Amino acid sequence: MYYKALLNLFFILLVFVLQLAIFSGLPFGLGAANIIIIALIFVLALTDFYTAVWGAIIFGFLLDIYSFNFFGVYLISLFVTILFSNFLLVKFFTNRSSYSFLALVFLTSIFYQAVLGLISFIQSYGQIEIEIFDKNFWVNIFWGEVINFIITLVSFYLISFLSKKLKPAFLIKND
Amino acid sequence: MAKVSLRKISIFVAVILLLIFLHFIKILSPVENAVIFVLNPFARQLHSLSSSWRSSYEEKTKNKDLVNEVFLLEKKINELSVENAQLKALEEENKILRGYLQFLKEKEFKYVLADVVSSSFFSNPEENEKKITINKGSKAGLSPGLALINSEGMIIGKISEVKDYISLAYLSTDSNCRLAATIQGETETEGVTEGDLGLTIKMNFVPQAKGIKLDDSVVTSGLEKNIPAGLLIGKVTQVEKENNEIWQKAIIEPMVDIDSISVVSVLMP
Repeated sequence: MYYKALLNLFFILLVFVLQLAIFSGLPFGLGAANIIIIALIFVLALTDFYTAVWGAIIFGFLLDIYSFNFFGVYLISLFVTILFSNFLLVKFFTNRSSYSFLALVFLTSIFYQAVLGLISFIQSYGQIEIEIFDKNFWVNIFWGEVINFIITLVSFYLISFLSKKLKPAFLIKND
Repeated sequence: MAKVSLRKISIFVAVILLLIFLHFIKILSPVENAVIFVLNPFARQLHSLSSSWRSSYEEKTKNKDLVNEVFLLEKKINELSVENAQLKALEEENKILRGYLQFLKEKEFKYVLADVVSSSFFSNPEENEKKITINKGSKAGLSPGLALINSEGMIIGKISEVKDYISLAYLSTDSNCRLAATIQGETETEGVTEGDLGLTIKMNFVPQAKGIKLDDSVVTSGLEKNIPAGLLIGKVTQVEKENNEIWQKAIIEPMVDIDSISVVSVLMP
């Protein structure tokens, strides 16, 4: 059990450092990718809801340590996001196809950005100007989603290749 | 997918609230510092790797315009040859300019070297923010308002917030980074620079009567506490002058690619 917990912690730290240090410095739209959200979606779909919530709490805590926003912004955003993501998974995307994952990652990352923006807006007493009519805002979101799509697809087929968890199961009728 | 238990959700909410509470009463500080202490070396290494990828990508993009660049450079060389001849005649005045450029060595400013551990991740893309996180904080003597310079002594940003072992800095192209500035060699032409869309810098509040020319070097004026005079900000690439306005505006291009910076010096008071 301890071995598994340590392995999970290592995985979380690895994803966190990659997001914080590698992706943040990359050019073009690569910097807008959110591998933390992708990792949480895979954890949610491959393990269970409670493991994903623990993951969200640890990721949120790490992000809040490094962030200069109000402490708790990332903890709350990721927690609410994982609740939303679980709702989508249970109600709409019950099959484990690549399309489900792509849709889930797309909707979840948009929801996460919205929650994060809303909390930051409330925290700054409405002083932040969210320029939704600014072209750059939408270009950033577009490229962020494109890169998220690519990372999700690569991860999906990699996991399918390495594990049986994402392989389709067929019910065979016994006459 | 199992049904989500409301009782367990309440436990998670309690854990989150407890973490926030413990943070604000500083009980979590040792844990937070330990996390930063452990992760910073990895983040530093990985960020410098990411910066080098960024630089090589930008280098390749630049190469596409190489033919145009050669033509422009040849033109520039001719202009510089003329300018060089004039500068030789003004050798005496040049000593003062050299003094500006070498002020770091001459005045022996105290500085702290820091590595960038993250850039842009905590920035709001909708605000075109350009922030970096560096691996030195209040324990190294850093405080908000201190200037960030690169290896050539050019100012690239300003510390905005500090924690024990990390600091947040706005780069000079961020709209939140305002610097008291002047045109080099013309101490009377003073204004305030601020980042523009995370790409360039604009210099505002320059009186209409003051002359600003293209390619003029813009330096810090020294009117700000903790930021010495003479730190190069960039070169003027455009001057916006309206007859009905009190002030004129200059667009300044930083002379280095501040987005791919991985090591900075913080000038200490």
